[in-house]
Amino acid sequence: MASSLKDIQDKFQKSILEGNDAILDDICVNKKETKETLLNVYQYAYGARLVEFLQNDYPMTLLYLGDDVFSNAGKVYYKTHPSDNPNARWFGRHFAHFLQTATPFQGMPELGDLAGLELALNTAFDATNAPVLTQEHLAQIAPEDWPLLTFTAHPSTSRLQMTTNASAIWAALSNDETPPEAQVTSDPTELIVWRGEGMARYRPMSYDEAMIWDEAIKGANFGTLCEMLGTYWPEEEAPLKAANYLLAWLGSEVLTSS
Amino acid sequence: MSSQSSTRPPFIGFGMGLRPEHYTEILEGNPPIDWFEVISENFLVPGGKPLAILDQIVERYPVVMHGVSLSIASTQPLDMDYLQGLKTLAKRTDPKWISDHLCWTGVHGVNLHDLLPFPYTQEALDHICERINIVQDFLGRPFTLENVSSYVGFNNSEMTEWDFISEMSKRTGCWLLLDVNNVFVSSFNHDFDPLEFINGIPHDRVVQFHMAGHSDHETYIVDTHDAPVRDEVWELYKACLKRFGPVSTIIERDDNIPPLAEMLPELQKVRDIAYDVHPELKPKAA
Repeated sequence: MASSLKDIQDKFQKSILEGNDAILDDICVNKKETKETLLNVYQYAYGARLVEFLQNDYPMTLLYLGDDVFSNAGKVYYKTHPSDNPNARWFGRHFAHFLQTATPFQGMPELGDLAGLELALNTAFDATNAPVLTQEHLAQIAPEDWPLLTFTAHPSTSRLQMTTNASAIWAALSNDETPPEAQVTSDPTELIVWRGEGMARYRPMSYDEAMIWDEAIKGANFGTLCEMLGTYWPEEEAPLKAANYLLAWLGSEVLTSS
Repeated sequence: MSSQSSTRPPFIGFGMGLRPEHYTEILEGNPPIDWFEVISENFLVPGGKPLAILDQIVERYPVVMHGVSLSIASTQPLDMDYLQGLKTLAKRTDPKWISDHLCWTGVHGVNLHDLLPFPYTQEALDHICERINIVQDFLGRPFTLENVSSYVGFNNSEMTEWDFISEMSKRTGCWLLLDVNNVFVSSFNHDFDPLEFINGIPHDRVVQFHMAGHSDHETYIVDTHDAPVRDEVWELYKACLKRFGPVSTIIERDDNIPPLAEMLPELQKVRDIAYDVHPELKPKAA
């Protein structure tokens, strides 16, 4: 009995994902080449294409690991994380987590941080558009209303906390420089990632700025943020500190007015 | 037959596949290209620069949306979220038509990101025609399917590829994107006469040609889109122009992509051959 379309597709997919050769019985004899070689065009292209997607999404991780190690990591990744989305854009979205948790890569903690930074940059690049909150918007707020003012993060922003010097490694590699030796840092590195003027960007945050940013986007009002900074700085300096951080946020397009 | 079959999309000239490597040259130089074919998936993203650039290109050039993930031949249900994404993108770009490939890309929730072959059977024909009608009705725009290159055939095929495509187009009214290079590649791989393929396709259903390069492995050819169009494919293009009349055409390049300026002579060759076969297309001197 001839195979149904469903049977053919099940067997063909198994041949690509698992190397199962049952589909060969359904494939015509070719005068010029063996069936195995012709089927291998699909099997080879599958792996090569998925590794290429990862190379495009994680270019600094690729430079850091080198072609061979990166390709090996990619092979393990696509075998454990087959693509489940029609858009290849999302195929590599678990790769940073994979590098953080899979053997032997979890023994290199800078790797997960480095890929995590690239993932955040990719996500910022084509995140949802939203109107940016500007100084002009805030100029319309009456002074007595400022303590109750709350803020919304632009959809492109994300926060990272790293335990390694991966951001320095990323910066060196992106400037074609030799990266520093990987180190676990004594204090975590706080980063904010966002899209500004169309480009994905990141910068470090001091611990107090990171603290009030995290609280601000959870809904804490400006008065509360000033009080929080008052536990960090002399009380009279806290409002000025808060104002300066807010100005930096406005200037870098990390808040939305929507 | 679907309601989309009645209006034939217009002839829009000679264009290129839009690639990110060329964005700056296009936006800064307004090159003399009639239209662009955009890869739908590149713009099925929430926001940011890709969509902003697309908006600028759509302001200057006609576009056609070309997808790679519809998986019309798959036995898993149509992905209605994906189709909704296409529909939303089409509202933004107002494409002259929307195209994808006559293939499947995966089953059981897995996407293999390849244009996979299937047997040309009555069962497959019924299945695909039913899905084309759903897609056409959902999108509400002219819908076009492209023949793919293939490297294997199936023992249980009951008809030729061209008979399958003809019947599919007749039953559903879908339009056809004839990839001239794919015809050549498959004719070599499956040992048939490419002219038989071309002459087996209805003369009035083809609204677009693709021209591209390939890689010759001696015993088989792979559709790699990484090199200029080969001489044999130029010859086939002439035969296509003779059979199908003036048809909107693009050059596809997906790897080893040179600057756009270096590809313009190849696009001029596409035009010149079309002008030779159909002198009425040649622009009149001012």
